[in-house]
Amino acid sequence: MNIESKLTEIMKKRILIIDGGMGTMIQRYNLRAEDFGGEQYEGCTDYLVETRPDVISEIHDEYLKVGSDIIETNTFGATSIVLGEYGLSENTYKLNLKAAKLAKEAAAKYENRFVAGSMGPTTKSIVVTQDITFDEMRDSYYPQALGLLEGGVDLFLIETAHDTLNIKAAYQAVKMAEEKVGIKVPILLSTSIAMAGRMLAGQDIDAFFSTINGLDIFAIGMNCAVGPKDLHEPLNSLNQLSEVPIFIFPNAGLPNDIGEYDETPEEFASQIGKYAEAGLLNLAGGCCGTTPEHIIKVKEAVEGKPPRQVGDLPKQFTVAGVDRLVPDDKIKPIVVGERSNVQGSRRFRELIRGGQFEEALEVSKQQVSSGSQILDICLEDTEFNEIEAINTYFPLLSKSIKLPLMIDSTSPDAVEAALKHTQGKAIINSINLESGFEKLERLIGIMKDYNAAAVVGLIDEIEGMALTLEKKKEVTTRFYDLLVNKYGIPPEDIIFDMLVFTVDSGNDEKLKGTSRATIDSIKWIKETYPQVSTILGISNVSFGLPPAGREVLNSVFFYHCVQAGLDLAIVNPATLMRYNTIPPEEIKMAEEILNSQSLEALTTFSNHFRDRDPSKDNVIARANMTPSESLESAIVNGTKTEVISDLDELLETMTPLEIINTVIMRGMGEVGILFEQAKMIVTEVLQSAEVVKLAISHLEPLMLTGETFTKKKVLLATVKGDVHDIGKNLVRIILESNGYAVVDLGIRIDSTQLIRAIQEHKPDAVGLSGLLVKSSRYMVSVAEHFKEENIDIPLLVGGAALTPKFVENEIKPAALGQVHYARDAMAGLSIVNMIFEEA
Amino acid sequence: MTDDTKMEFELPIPNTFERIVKLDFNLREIWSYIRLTFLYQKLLGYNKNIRASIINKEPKALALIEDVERLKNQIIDENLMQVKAVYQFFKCHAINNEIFIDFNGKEVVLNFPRQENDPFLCLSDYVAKSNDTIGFLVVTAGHEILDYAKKIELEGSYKDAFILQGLAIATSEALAEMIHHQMRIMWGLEEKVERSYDAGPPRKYLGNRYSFGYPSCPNMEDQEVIWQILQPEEIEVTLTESYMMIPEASVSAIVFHHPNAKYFNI
Repeated sequence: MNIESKLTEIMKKRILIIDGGMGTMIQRYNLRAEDFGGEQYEGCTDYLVETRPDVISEIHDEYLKVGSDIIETNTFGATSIVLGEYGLSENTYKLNLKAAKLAKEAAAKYENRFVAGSMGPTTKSIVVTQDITFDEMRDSYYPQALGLLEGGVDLFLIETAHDTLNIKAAYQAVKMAEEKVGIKVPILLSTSIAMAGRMLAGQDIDAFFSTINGLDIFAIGMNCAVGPKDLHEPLNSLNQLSEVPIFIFPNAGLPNDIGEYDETPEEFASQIGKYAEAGLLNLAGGCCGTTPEHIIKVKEAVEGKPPRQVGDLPKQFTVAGVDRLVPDDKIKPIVVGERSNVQGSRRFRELIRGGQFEEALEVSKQQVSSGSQILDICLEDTEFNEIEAINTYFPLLSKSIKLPLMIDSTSPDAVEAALKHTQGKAIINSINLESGFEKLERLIGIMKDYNAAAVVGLIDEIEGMALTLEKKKEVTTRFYDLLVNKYGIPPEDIIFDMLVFTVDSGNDEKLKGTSRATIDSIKWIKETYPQVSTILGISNVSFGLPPAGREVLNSVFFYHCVQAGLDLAIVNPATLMRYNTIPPEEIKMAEEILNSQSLEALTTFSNHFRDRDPSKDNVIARANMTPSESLESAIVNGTKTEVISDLDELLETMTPLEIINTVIMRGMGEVGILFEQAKMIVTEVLQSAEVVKLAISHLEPLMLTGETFTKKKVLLATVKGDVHDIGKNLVRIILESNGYAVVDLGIRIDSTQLIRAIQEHKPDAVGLSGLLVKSSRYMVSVAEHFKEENIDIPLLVGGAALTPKFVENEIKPAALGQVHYARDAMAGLSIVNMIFEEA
Repeated sequence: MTDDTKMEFELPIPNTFERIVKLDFNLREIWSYIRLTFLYQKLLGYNKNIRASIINKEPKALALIEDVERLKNQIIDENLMQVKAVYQFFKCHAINNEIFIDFNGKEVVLNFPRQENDPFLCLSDYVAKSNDTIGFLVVTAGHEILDYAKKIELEGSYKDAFILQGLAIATSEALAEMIHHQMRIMWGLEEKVERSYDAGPPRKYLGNRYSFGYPSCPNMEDQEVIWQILQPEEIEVTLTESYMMIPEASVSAIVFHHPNAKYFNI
């Protein structure tokens, strides 16, 4: 009987016990430098198998004695990377071989005890610190895996993982070693979930599970980082997700002030006992701070409790970035952002060609903020080396994009290069039979090695793209059979691209009826193969039609595809018109085209939209468009790069005044809210104001004479004797970027100057600023002087020495009109807004 | 006189009574005297503790610091800031609430308010009844940097303009700190030691400096005395009708050596 069946057999009956901490036990020996083979190796516990094998054997024995079913080899850090820090990288294979043999010898004294080859996370991280490449990481794990396997380990334990990409590298190293040796042993994967419920590289247990679920894994669990109590939530999630056995071997609580773990064996075991009671465990053990005393108690606590039972769980499409993404029937379909594509976006292409990767990243980020749930990334271009571009761009993506990625390339090498930078579960876009079986099989191998899903295009080697419903059915059936039955790809990892062609097919008879065929094929496939998903590039359908009509047709086509069951859509969500805002007669015209693709229907449709003056389009519908959202977020984020092009797009449908009064004011409104919530700081607000200034200076020359965007006029001054004007300048900038006209009289302004300016400029409000106590007093005289002159316009006062109380008790009684205390510039803005809203 | 203000130490004597005008500075040395909390939290409106934010690598803080450092480089590269200082020691003595300053052989008097409650402190307590000395300083970051800030603000660079104004103010404060340090060395209260540029301002020293308008010496009119004896017009710092300085980024101060000199409210 092989190990896997043996373990499975035992695990049907009871919960298996994993051993406790190795480091904790080694500390009990108070080893000195010479025990490690000299000062230069002191602290390299993995080297002890060479220098003090007696210690390691004794620890193994202690854990076996108390009933551990599985003991771990003393190889947590025995990769060439970590050993290299002691100049021992050459010994990697040898030390692992030795460690495996030591553990095997110890276990051989008992019946049915197993040795797990421990593979720790190393000291580097592909995702977090980006201080190592995937290949270097895999090659560092390889001699470890080989040594362990040849030393006779019964299983592998890839543990304490804080970076899922590191795990994939370790997994591949194990697979390479297994191939070399010709033996296959079960693999256990164990992640380290910190207090916040996430791994260091960001994934939570759901995302982690989805990312590694398709790999050839015997059991999945969690260890280290926290105590048993803290694993309550993630363990429950894992229980609901996993069809394979699950386990935990946590720390003895969280470290105390001096870095020690002090959860007693009783406390530790009692929590694990509760999990066992709830039927959540297949294996259990301990990590940092746990000892044979803990393991005895764990064994007692789970004794007689039935192991976790799993039936078949429902299979569904799942991908992951930092978070997991599963379909939600309420918000179908899943939106795939299409603009980070050098073939589809001119701007993105120019940025990548120009080596402006940071700027290109802004394009990708914008796709996220405009509602994409997956990002399609295509860097395949004739002008530059795709793999080099991937190796530069993907590390940037992995730092700032949390969404799952869709890797869009026809080159298997490029796809693999991208996957080596991708933490989560990605989608390969796409695989097909256009270039024959060799390439298909290569990509299928990559899917399996990295646990990726794939878009499968309905293109075969005989007729190319499938146009008709019959052909689509035929190709789908053939591909499904090949992928699922021949190559063993799970159906939920398959996304069929049913292909979209333009309705404007001209005289090409072959293309007649393709749009109807696409819609019908979705309906058919969802009935025939409910586990697979479908995807479409929506906007292709309207290629060649007048711009005003494209959005309508896209929207109607999209609606019907979703009704038919479409799962994913490559689309720019912001440019889709809402179906329910389209007039019924236009829906009818669009449906007529989709159904018949007749020349007559096309002509009617085109004429209808060609005659339409785009500027008369519904402003609200237009405001939902990308350029408006993009401008709004540029204001909030203080980025200037896209402002002019956004404005130019907006100007096609809006007047400058409309842009200012809607988009720009909304953006600044959002800035105000964020500042109030302390989510923005002053300098960021100023950056936003700079964007507004840039936008307005672009719009102003385009405004009609007499047209003005200013709401009201505010007069500002730093009072007599005072020279401090930073605060006042801030108020001016904030008011101006919120549409107020500001007359700034400057510093050292006395009441006579103020009154003269009021008569000249006729402001709607006056703002006084001053830093000193004396300035505060002077504001009282200003108020009195205003009263004498019968001036009752609202007064705003602000400054370091002012207090609300002083304003209330001294200035207000002196004034004829309203007096408001403005704590800071943003408070000043909301007061001004309030005054004029009331008016 | 309270216990705190007894003259139980040897009165220091400055190594010169000459009036010193200094126009040539290493800006990086001045900036090493900037207090981070003052610059980032008070002047630039950063809304959390700046030191903690640096340690936690908070992106907002790091971005702001990057902006500040970029502008510092620009100030140096384009020679945007003309800092200047004038300072001098004078012989003096105190009677009751008044300090009598020997200005070229004639007496100039500064009268300070005394606390009405225990411990009844008054700034004149920090000066001995005879043969003592006192220092005065006026420093400025100059009008050039503020003019430049105004210019780029009108061009739409609001953020940079705001930061430059804040930097100008912080620079004048830092320069006051640095000149005060220099004056303690001249008094022999401190050894001159090499300071690294990331040291931050010295935290503990003998004596204290006070600016008019603040609680211990609230009478702004007394600025006139400083202008009479130091003539800061030479470094282009003038007074407004309410005795505030122009340019805004300027500091004037009166410097005491008394080891127990502290800030107090009247």
